[in-house]
Amino acid sequence: MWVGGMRGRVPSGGLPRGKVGAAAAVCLWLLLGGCGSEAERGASLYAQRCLTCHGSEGAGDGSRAAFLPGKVPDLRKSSLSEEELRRVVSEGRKNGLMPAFGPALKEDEVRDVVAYIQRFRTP
Amino acid sequence: MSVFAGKRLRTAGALAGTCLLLFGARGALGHWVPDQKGAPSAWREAVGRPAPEFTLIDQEGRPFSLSGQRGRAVLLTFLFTSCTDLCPLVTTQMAAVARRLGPNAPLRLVVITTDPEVDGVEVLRAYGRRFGADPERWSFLTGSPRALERVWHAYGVSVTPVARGLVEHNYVLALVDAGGIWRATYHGEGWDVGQVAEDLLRILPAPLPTRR
Repeated sequence: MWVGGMRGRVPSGGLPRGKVGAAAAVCLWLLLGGCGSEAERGASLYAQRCLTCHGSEGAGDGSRAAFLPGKVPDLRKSSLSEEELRRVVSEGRKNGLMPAFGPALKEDEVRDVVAYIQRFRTP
Repeated sequence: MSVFAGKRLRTAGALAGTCLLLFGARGALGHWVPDQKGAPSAWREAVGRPAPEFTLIDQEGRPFSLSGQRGRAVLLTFLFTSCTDLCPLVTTQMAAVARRLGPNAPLRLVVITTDPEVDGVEVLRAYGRRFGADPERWSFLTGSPRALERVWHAYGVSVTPVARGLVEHNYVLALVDAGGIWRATYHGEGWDVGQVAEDLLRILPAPLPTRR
């Protein structure tokens, strides 16, 4: 890795300022996001469970959407609250086309995927 | 002509013969059912032997055996409730077949889970409700992994768990007549509602008395 690769090339007077900044940025990235943040876990779950119908931007244009009898909702325009979104993800929709993920996912996984979905919303 | 050219010709002839033979056998055993764009998406295979027997648990927690369905045709498929692929669509298509045949058709719809880890009795009951399934006509079955594995294998279903609530499986729709004979299988998810309804009409016994 780049951080490891720096070893041995450190000048005797310490790291140059630019490199210190870059190393700090990498550490910060690892601390805040790189180790699997809520959003990152949500993104992974979204890709696994939602992408085929809802599409990469939540527009309802996933590869399977065209085969479904109903229109897949555009998550960017959803007016559901966070709690309502969690309920839909957990319990599914009455028409059955939206699966209930409650039995398959843990509560925190549902929370993570909803956090990711909310990022699609346009202000 | 060299010896090698002669060999090549014989090999090509044998290959062409094999292709013709396979094509002919394909015609005798079944046919492709094209989807709306004309591409084959489901393969209908004629079977004609007793359907493998099984006893599992339905969404009401009651034992359900295939032999207990004699006198009705059975439309049988395999899927799981948290499926993000085409399982929900297959479920709506089964409902559409039942609607086409009417409420008095002696038909039982059967869905067998491919994910017993998640799909317990309660989960299957909730799944059925979301699709408006009448438990007297439509059964959603689960059981022990061992019992289910035997049924999957008997009906040609291959199941590979990927993550909790996520399994890979092939789509199989089996038609069993009122005498327990496995008449046909549709392989693939692209089977046509009209075609399956038509096939069922050919094998259904007389309609059941009107339900009150």
